[in-house]
Amino acid sequence: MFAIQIICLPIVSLFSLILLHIAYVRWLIYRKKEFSQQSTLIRLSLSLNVPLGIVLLIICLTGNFDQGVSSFIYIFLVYNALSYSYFHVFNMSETARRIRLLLEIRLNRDVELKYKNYSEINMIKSRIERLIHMGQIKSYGSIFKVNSNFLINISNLVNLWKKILNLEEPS
Amino acid sequence: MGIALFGGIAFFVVVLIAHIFLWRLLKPESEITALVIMFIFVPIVLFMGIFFVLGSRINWQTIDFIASLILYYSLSFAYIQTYPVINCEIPSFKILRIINKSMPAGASYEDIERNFDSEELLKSRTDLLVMDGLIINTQMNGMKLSLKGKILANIFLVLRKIYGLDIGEG
Repeated sequence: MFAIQIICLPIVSLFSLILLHIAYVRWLIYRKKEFSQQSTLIRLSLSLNVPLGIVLLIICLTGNFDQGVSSFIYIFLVYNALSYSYFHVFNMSETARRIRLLLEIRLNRDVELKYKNYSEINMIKSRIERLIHMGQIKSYGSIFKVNSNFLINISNLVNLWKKILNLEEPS
Repeated sequence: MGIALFGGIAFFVVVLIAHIFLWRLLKPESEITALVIMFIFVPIVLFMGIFFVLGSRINWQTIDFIASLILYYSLSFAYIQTYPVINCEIPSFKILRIINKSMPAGASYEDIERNFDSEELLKSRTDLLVMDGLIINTQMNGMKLSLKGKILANIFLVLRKIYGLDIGEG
């Protein structure tokens, strides 16, 4: 029974995250608030670790304390890996160039793609705005400066993994 | 739960190491297909084999097996989702590198823009969509969605509608 609870807990948490995320985004749109899609989802998925931990603690305190540590690690690994996958799917709908191109063609009823809504300039501008919203860069008039090293560090880790896999490094 | 935790992580690490060796020796042409076969299909056979042959010897019960599978596949899906970020040049990361390199002076919009070209930003994406069979480049009518492309586009349109959002910025 305990093992079944441990297996189900992160999966139930994932579904809760999805429902909460939908409700929260709709509420922010209704209130006409400016928000970063990515930061919102990251904060929401990380904060769900807290009630998850509390529920697990309650389950462990009802007679399964000897399995506490391994259960904690298991649940947090599964929940955070699943919520990370969910983040990627949502982020794809928000930022992936290929998905945007597909949807532009779909909405223009499969006519020739003239890039009329999706120019190169828009692509760079939208990414800069997104990075500002996420607090990674800051605008000082017409100049942009680094505001946080978080994504730069992630980028460095990605380059390291590229080296390990013997893939071409970025210019 | 310890054996399920160990089983899931150990299996993921073994497959990851095999992935590194395979990529360094002979990088497959279709990387995502190779990743899916390596991380999703081959392990299910190996997992079942280990469970049925060794399961009773290491006291690995069915519930531990299922828990290990869930953990292994959670980690694998997360890695497969991350792979395109590793494999392709992400424009946002490139923008960050350009700005970081220009510190402390910072970079202007023009400094950033001159490091990109349309081939990199747009054409390469349309070429990939054609290669993946999602769009068809017709002589007469330009680009059209294939059936696969229409299905995928509709899934994302419905997804965005559920959130009450317009299509993404891309």
